[in-house]
Amino acid sequence: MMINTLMIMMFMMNLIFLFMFHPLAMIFVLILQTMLISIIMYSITQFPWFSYTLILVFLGGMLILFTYMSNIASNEMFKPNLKMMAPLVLAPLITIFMMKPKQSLTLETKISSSNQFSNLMVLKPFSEAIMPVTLLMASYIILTLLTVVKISKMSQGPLRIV
Amino acid sequence: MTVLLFFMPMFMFLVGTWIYISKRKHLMNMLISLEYLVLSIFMLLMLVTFLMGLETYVSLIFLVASVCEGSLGVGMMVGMVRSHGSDYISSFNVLKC
Repeated sequence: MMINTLMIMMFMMNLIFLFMFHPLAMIFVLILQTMLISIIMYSITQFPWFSYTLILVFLGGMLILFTYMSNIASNEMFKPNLKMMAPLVLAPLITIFMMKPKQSLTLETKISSSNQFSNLMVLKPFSEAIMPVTLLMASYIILTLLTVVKISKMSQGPLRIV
Repeated sequence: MTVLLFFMPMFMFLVGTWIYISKRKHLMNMLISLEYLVLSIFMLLMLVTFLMGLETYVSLIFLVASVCEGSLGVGMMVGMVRSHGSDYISSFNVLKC
């Protein structure tokens, strides 16, 4: 039942994103989508680690950057659009017609949740086989950090708005 | 139900691509739609690898790469705002000294 509501809301967010033109509004829809995807991921895989990582990355990391940039660089009014009411009505109808009742994904989730070692699955990135990839990702992030600092310091002073 | 579950990130991908190609006013719209695409591919990757019994860590590697791409895009946008004055796409081909 919960996954049905989540599907309806996600479909609605998708359609609302189509009507957005201001960057701040798009960021808001992106935040809501991130929350919904995290909850759906947890209810499918029964492993909340990916949900935590996704929320941390999208909320705490990039969207703050984007919000800062949008506050500086945009100067537009939010206009209410009457065509935005259509997704609120259409999305539940379309989703209900597409759903078949009494089909659940619990068959796949029983494998991972009944394991007594399922708490140790967080250590999987640091095992012998995949540790080089994790180290590669860490060094890639550090390299990107240095590059972004180098790019943004190209001129002195604050951003200029014409 | 599995069909609907796969339909959602695919539709999200199409919506993100539509916004990427159709919004012509700000550069910011384009960058945000790229993040939307990242979100949809993350969900699709996680679904496919989980429902086939494979390792879902692949989606985290993808997330790291896409976060770096997003931050590099914002850094380049900062450079563009500094040189062109704002992030309006229509002012990018106006020559100024």
